[in-house]
Amino acid sequence: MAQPPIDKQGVLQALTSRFPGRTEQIEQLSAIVGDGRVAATPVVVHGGPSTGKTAVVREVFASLKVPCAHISCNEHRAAKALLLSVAAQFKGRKRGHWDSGSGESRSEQVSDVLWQLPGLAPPHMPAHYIILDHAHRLASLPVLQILMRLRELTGANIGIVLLSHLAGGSGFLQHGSHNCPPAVEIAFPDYTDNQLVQILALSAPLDEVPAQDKGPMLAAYHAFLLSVVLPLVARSSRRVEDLHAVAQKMWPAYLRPVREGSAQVSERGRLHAAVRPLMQAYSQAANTDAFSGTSGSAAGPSSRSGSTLDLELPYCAKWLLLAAYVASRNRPSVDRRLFDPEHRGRRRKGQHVHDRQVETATEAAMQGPHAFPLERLLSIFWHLMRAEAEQQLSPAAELAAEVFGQIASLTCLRLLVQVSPEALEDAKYRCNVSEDLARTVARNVRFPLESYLLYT
Amino acid sequence: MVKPASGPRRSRRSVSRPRKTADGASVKSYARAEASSSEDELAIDIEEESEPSTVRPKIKAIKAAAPSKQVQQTERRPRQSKKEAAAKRLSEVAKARDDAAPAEPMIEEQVQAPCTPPPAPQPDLTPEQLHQGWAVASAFLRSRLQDSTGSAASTMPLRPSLEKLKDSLVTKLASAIQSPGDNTSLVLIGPPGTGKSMVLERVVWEVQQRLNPNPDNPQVGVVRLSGLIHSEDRAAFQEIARQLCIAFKCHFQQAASQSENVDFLRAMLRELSKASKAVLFVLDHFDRFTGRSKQAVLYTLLDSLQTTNMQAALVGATCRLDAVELLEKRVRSRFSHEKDLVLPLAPATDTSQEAQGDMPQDVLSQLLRLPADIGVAPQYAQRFNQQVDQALADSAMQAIVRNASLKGNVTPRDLAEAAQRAIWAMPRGEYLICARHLVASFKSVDQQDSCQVAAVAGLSVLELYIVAGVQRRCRAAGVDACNFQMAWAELAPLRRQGSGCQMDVQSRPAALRAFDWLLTRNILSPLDPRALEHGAQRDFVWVRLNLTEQEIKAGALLHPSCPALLSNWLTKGSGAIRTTAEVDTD
Repeated sequence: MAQPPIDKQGVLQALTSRFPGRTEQIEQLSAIVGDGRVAATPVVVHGGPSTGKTAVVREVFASLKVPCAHISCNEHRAAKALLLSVAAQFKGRKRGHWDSGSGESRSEQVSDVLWQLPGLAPPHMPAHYIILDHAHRLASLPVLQILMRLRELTGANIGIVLLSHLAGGSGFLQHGSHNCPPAVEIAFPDYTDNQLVQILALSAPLDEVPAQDKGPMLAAYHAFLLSVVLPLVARSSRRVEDLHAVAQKMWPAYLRPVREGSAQVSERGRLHAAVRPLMQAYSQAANTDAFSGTSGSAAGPSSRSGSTLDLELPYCAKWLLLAAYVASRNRPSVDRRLFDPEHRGRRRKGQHVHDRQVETATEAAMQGPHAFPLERLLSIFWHLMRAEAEQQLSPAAELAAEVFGQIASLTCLRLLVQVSPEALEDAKYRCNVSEDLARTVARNVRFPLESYLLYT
Repeated sequence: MVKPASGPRRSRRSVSRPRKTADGASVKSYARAEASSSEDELAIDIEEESEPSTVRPKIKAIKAAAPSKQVQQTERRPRQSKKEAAAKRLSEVAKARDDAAPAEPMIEEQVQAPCTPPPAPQPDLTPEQLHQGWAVASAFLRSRLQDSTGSAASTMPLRPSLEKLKDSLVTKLASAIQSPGDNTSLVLIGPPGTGKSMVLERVVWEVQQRLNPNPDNPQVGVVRLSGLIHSEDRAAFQEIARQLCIAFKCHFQQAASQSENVDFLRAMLRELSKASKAVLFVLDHFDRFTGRSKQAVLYTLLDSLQTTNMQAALVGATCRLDAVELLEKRVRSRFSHEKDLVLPLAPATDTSQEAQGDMPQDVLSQLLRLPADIGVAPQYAQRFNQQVDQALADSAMQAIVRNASLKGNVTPRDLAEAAQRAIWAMPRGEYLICARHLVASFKSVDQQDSCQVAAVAGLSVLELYIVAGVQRRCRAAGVDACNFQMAWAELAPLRRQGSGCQMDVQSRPAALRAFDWLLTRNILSPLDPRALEHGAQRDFVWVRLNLTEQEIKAGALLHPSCPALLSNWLTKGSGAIRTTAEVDTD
């Protein structure tokens, strides 16, 4: 191979400066790659999300010019698809091309693909590597075993690097009865405060700053991160994305005195004072997800506006939701007391009894919604509708045909969940409505929800 | 082009016709088979004689080969005894060093003076020699340590118990393959990482060396299957057909169906035995073949062994002791019930005679010592091996090996991995392996299981509170799972004014995010893994804490900014659960 020699030390230094706090891992990886002639034993790179696993591994392999195939296990989990993609990447072609190329490839099996690998990465050539992202998703799948023993099985000069949230030895490799050969583990620990500051400072917004001011500005950014961002966010979340989002929001406010000419960059106290109102606003607004940058948390449809709903539901569906909510919170024994006018329950009295009721109520609230049969939902629904009809004289009876359709559509919306899918007759449902949403819906249709929630 | 097999009707026709290989030459094996079976006018073979005379020279060849092997063994013996002597000498050195540390270099010089130059100054090796030597040696050792069945590993001496096993297997298989009408099937059982595959590979190699003097016209074809890939019937039969075609140089048809491949296998075996050729089936991960219903692969192979006019042997390797019991009745009755055990390493402290050479330190030396002919300067190889011996005789190294072997079973694979780490960790500018490298790598293997502790130490304060909440709730209720709602309720006393940490645990959405994060980090895991996919509310998903109490304690102690109250909670033993009032006074 007529490859220009790589200045390994220089490359490593460049990488180390790009990835603060990852010096050790970069050195380990490059030691494992070695001179690139012989593939190493399987390596498990593990650490939490956004600790730089993928970026570091990718960059180390790219800058050492090691041929490798990148696979994300979120995309491929079947052995054949995964290996086909590996083979295609080693061939240097796009997967799609290769697939449509000949009819032969369609009938291929795993063993056929494995036969190709020694030809793609023969022992006398530099080692090829397969880099599997999200490898923990392969836990307990047979393909993981094949990959871990790829060299033994095929004789190809192929190494494998698994990137995973979980450690290998104690985690996903020892899953069930499979025993994978042991792998070398490289841990990517969570960042310390200092490392977080260094990482955030790498993306400091200094583009518009003139060159001679860059030094003091960078120092100011460091101070800003240490005095504003970390104390504000790091106690609840140490994710780089979150910190970065807050830093981006706060930085202009922090610099406002400088821009207005009322303070110098070095006057940290005055700058800090300028951003303080924003910090207070942030801690108060922490109850909403407004600040957290990547709040991918779809906490179900929730609404905070008064009597208007931010989701459109038919009238009948709203009542069904309320009925489901009542059914999932109340015990079946309460139903009679609620809906049977003839019923005269023996009322127990006394402080002691009351305390116990409150206790069971909180306990029940913590247990979460329970499942209920369809008949119960329908019966509660009709009771509610009848009560409503008496008040408003609305044509409740016309809805009868619509109800089942609405139940189906609510199930599609995941507001109702069918718990026992196999039994058609006594299908059980669970209500997935949060307390907030239930209250909003109740306000929307002017339904006294509180008086229908009883715990005994 | 001839198809491997295509239905019973056509297969008969195709067998009685000389086949062409992919490159167009007529296949000798088939031609010979036909010369004996049907006096066809097409079956013209030029060099071949009739059957019996081809068998006899083979036997002669083996008889000739056997003594040469003994010669090899006798050759090996003096080398070993020399090694033992060296080891003894070195242990004396070590003892002497313990007694009188300052006088160390002098003693070493004295002891080693007669056969080797003194090690401390290196007059015999120039820096370039060292550099080049290490470049070659490290690449060689990397590939040997990484791949126990590869070519680099085949230069490694086997430990005595494996050597014995290999010899017996070779004789067994060779005789079964050679004598007509005698087939055998056996399974090799041993714990993972003890060298089953390596032994099998050597056996296959040696059998081939013995019986295949002419690689262009092989007497024995080897078919290797692995239960990991070929446990499925279709894949297995296709693979068998493919490897048979490669071994005996016929054209392989990829599009052949499973039944065509089965027919091809039977026809091929029949034809091969007519030509007095044989097939050796090697099945790694043997137990995986029993997982399929009907066990068609094993049944077909073992059934063909039963038929007298076929020449074949089957060797399986598995980690499961009950592998034979896993076989179906019809398969088991066709299996020879011959089992060979691959023994794990002897404990490092064993002093008995039979443990000699089977101990971890011996295997380590076998793994690390360089053979003469890998392209390094002989001086370097000698020097390197000397260093390895010295390193293994080091007292710290011996203590570590002894500890590891006391703690649990050390397999050769573990040793190879540790040695591999030592080679990776070699600093620049050092070209010889020594004791401290090995010691460091063994220690780093020991430290691997602390990642959960590190994960706890890297959590944010809020996440730690959630962990504490989950732990307390589970402890209070005496169960091992709870949901977010309960953990959150458990933290209620902290949210009151004046508890000193109400800021940390004020916001429920933030806490829910922290809870999510813990789920992603696998510190908490849902009891029902599909609960979240089914769109259940996260607050009510039942979760389990994946940390032991010790891990939480150690993590909390390591945490840089864990509040005092929280660390008090976390590090408290399981006995004392304090009431809310007590917490408030804290």
